[in-house]
Amino acid sequence: MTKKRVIAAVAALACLWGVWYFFPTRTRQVKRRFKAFASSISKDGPEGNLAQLQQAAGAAEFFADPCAFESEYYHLTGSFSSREISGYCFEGRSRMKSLHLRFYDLSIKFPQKDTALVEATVRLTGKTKEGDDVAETHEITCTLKKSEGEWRFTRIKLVEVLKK
Amino acid sequence: MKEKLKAFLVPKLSTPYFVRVAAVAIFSYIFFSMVLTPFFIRGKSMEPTFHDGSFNFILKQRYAFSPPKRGDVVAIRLAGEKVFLLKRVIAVAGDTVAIKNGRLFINLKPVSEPYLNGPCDWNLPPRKVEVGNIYVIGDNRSMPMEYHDFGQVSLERVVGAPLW
Repeated sequence: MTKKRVIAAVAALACLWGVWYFFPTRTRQVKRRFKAFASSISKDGPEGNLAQLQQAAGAAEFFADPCAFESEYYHLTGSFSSREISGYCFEGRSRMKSLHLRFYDLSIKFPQKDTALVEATVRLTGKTKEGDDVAETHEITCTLKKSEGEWRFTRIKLVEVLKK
Repeated sequence: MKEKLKAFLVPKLSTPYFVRVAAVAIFSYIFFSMVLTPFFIRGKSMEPTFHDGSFNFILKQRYAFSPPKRGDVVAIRLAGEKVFLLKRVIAVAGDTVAIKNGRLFINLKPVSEPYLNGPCDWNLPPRKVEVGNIYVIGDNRSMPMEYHDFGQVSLERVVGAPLW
């Protein structure tokens, strides 16, 4: 009898986990998207040109075409096509020996059904090919829209926390 | 004595035991999130005062009754409270800040900064700190000025100060 109860409890937990994993809420979908994007940008060591091109093309798929950027810090403001974003990703990654991108403190709101407004802290760390350490931390606000079943960035703004 | 020690190390899973565990957990959560928050320092912008990889606590209530003063080291929040910026206050609201050949000037008067270590050739034209803001900067000014995050920040973003 006890054995049956334990099996039933385990089965119930497995079902709950399955529902949680395979039917994520919108919030979890967006969080997963950020995690996947961070992983597509990051690299642990040197890569071949072909692998870098593939990674850059993969990273560009996280963005709508076009996507708006607003960053006084990087002097990068305007609307960029997927092709341009892929080029920037390739150029940026090829300068680095290692690169790690992580998002923290994601605050997600849904003003409309297929629109997400996200505030987050992004931390970029790594080493350039010349051996210099890179460590940058910024607050960002982003807008993502769901199209063709995927959440894509349509606007990214770097918040100027410290004004020189 | 032996029984007492055994009862202490391997307590009975009774209701009072679970109440005690819950009380300790709740107290710890409140204490470490609202009073003293542990953190690791990542980055070199506060060298030599705070070293990369070292451990400290943020005293959250440090500025509950008085605003930060010149010379204080403060923790500045970004999108949330998982990642902070650690910076030194060099000027408060109403002050005029300038740096000439690495020397800090507040209200046109040179300021001694014993916490600095290493050469600095920064030049920053004078600027006035607005009401409700402070001007913060890292202690490591041997790096190029454009790679160092510093500037005016709202007092609302100051979450506390390192404990030591």
